[in-house]
Amino acid sequence: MRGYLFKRLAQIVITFFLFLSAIFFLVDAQPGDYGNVFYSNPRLTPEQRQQLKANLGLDQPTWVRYTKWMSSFLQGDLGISFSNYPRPVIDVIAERAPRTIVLFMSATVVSFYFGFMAGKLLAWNRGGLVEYASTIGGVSLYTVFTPWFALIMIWVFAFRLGWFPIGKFIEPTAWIGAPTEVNDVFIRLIFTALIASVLLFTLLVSVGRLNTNQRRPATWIGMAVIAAGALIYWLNTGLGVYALDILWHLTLPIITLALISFAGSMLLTRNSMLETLREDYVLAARAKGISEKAIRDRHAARNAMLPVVTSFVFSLAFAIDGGVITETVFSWPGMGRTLLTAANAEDIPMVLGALVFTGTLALTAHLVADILYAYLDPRIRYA
Amino acid sequence: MKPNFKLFATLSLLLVAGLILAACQPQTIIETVEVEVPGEEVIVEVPAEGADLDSIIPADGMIECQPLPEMAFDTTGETVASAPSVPVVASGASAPVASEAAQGGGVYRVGIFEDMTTTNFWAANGPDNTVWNSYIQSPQYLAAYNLSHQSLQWVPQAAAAEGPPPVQEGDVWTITIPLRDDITWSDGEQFTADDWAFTAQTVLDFGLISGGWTAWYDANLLVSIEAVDDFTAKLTFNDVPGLISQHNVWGAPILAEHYWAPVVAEAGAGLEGLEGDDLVAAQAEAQDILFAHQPDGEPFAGSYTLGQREPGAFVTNDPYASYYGAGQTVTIYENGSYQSVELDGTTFTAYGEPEGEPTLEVVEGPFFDSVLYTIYSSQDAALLALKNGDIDFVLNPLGLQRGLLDQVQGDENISIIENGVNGFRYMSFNVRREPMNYCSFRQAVAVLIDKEFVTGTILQGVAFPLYSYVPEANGAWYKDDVPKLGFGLDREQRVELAKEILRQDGFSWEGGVEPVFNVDAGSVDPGGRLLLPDGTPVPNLNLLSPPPSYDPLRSTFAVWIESWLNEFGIPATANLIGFNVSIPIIFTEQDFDMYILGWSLGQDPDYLRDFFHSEQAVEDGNNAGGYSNPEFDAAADAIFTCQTFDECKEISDQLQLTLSTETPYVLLFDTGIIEAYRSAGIDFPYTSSLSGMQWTGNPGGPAMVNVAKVK
Repeated sequence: MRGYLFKRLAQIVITFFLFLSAIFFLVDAQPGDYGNVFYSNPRLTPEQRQQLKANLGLDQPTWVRYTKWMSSFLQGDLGISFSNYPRPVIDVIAERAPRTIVLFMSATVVSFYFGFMAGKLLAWNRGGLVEYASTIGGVSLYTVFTPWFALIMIWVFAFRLGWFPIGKFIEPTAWIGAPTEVNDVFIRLIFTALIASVLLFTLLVSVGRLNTNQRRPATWIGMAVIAAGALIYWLNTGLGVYALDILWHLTLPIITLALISFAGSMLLTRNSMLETLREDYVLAARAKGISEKAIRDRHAARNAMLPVVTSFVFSLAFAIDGGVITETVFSWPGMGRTLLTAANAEDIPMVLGALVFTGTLALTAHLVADILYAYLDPRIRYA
Repeated sequence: MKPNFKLFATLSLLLVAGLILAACQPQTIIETVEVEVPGEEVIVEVPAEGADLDSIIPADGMIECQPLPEMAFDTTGETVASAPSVPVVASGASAPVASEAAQGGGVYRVGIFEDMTTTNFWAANGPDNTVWNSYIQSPQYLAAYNLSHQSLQWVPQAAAAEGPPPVQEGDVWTITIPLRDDITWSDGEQFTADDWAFTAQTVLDFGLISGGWTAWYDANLLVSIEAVDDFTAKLTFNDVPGLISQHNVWGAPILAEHYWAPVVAEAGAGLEGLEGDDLVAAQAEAQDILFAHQPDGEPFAGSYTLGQREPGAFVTNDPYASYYGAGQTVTIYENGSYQSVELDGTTFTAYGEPEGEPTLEVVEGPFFDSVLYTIYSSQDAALLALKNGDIDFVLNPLGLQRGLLDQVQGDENISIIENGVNGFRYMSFNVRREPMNYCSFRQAVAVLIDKEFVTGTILQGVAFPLYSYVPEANGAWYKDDVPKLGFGLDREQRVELAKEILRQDGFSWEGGVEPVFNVDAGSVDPGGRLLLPDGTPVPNLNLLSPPPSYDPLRSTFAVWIESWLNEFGIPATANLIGFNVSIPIIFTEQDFDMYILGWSLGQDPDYLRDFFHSEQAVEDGNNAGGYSNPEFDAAADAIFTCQTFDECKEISDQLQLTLSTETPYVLLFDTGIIEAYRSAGIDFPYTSSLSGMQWTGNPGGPAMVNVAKVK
């Protein structure tokens, strides 16, 4: 396993640098450059335009800019964003990534959870009306034109019913005079979720060792303790009301994203379950007289999880990219819109900076998925 | 299967090498075209790659215009009553609107579509020069002079009197301007002439050229601004500053010396004693330090001060309690006279003694406790918020899209305004190339383009046709009686006039078969290919235009122009290419026959020089089409030295007349700007304004917006 990990890490490092090179040259190969903006000011003389381009390094040949950028990258410097001059790229990412991570990771977790649960039940109760309705409904939402659907959701639930805010990620009037910045609350939310997830995972592993009768109450008590801990923490900080404001703005986008994407994991789980249910060990379990629920949840579903987990891990990795459409329609200023705006403006350092994170997470996700495979399926061993 | 690592690595390296080669591929600069014209040899030389484009200006390569032929119908549009009407803003031309007395309180809630990129005003008007920064920051700063409400006359802001004329002192010219002594910064410090001198000196020392700085404090003209005493500034110029140059520096924002001096001193520490390239390099570094400074506690003197900023979410501007202009009443009279009366009764009058009825009366605020700029990423969400009462007004430089107008029309809480804009979209010729170097050819193409048909019939009135280089909406500088080639003509008349224009310059058609309008079919029967005066066929021409995804209006025009030119025997192809693709082709490579783009314009017509002076007909210059006319150049230079409005207007008229005749551009169209505001929540003292109510040059910006009267 250790040898395998070293080999995979070496491959990942090489792949990462190939990825960086490829995106640099692909982005740079776009016609024009950021200097195009200087043509909108007719008062500038040609010499001044050249000077402004030179100040940004745009007068240098491609390979010179490539080596400079790569050299800076290796020193941990992602450069200066042209369109936020002279703000460092890393600073822009640090500002926008937490919002995207909160929205898309939450949506990914919700959609995978419901997708997995629905897929498991559909496979178990195959052939019923519920299966047809869920499949058709899920696939319809999966293929729906996202901007239209998101706008309809806003129109119905925010504008008509008034249940949720129209766009934005916070209510400005609630934040005027706030004791802290929005990003501080976002980061606290991320850490709260992270710590709660680790505790929940530990809890679930721990209660698995208990006997059947003790498991359920232990689980509920454990979850209540974690929830109470989080609540006490937020009450103590005095920022709970701001966190609630964010969560209120988060709800509609999460529902929308979950509705659009849960069908993917639902169908994946359903197909995986159908294959698993044909396995001999399921037949053997039935022959032993184990309850149907236990066969479904502990024998079939657990083994059907492998492809779903892989898909989930990759989805989490790409969550940092955000989604241009979702972020635009819901006025959620995250990485998706940043990437799009930067690409349109040919702000190459910003585009590269955003994609560096995507590449890093995507490659890490591949490694994590490999390791998880071995953990989830004892039959898998890496040599 | 065992992964083949070597194969993977080899393929990856090949991929990267391929990408490098593709990215490093040399670009073709401009093709060589040789043109022979009977009677005189005209070589339109186009250099090989890397050659100096200065050498290719074909001053003698452009074929002069002939008088327009006599036809049975009017050929210039001059006898037509007027061009199609658009909302006009002109001195004293608007209907009288009187604002109610100041009310107050509450939050003025504004929707915007992009966040501020910086709160550093040096950067915001430099590399971060976005309209969104400008919307929020403009009300925070004062200039010596500003444009008046609606009539757009230059009136004192921080200055205490009208600007005197320049005085020659040896080799230089000076203007001495008295400043008000009752203005304080928001931290309580006195606003003085030293602040203006400091701002100007910083721009000059740091070589700030991007954004607005280069126009405000033009290092080619302005030598310095000195503080004679606390409230007197002396501006020194190396040449006589014309009225328009004076306007530029009059409107230049002024920053607080006592806040910025330490930052500037630190950033510019290495600039002393440097010259040439060393200085330019050091200035670039100094600028980066200056722009990177994050202001904390910067004082302001405008109507609003920066409140709170939450990146990506909102920005607030708080009213400045000691704003000098709060409560003053501004009145514009029928004769164009401007009068302001301050709370203590101090009266200032300019542009003549008031005569006739007031056309406008505005009481200045601020009237709100705060201005809240909330960021929406889409117009749909912003409009829903407007309907829902979450915001009062939407700021968007493009205004409200007509497709979204239905959403707010009929809402009794919302009012819709439409105003003219100061800009145009145009088609430019590359006059370095044949046949575009023939004035007759350009005029014939202008005649063939039926702007009324495209804007009226095809685009259903979303745009209006343009004929003048100063748009009609800019009433002060607009010249109506310029040749309006093709205006008011039907298709048959257009074809006949275009043929006659070309015929009298020696053009003909292949096989002698001319295009003819078929009355029965209602279309043009194509003839042979158009032949140049020497008998050679007109080459295939390309027309670059933005695609429908970028601008459906311009792409529609391009497609129709292609069709009209081809049926006339001019082989033309419209290439609808991305904006970023077209810019280097047009301005750097200058490898085009015709292109369609657009300009947003300043109020003064000095842009005519920027666009068409031959010194701009170089690589990366504005005059990408290579238009060159020494007489035009001389007149264009004079627009920077003329001293009175009448003198400048005469020059501006002459420039417009020359351009309308020689047609380096065919002006196509522009659109008005539509805006919607929540009339249930706010009142504007007037709603007719050049480029709409959002125009950031409005004195005091949101200070003029009042709380709506209870209806």
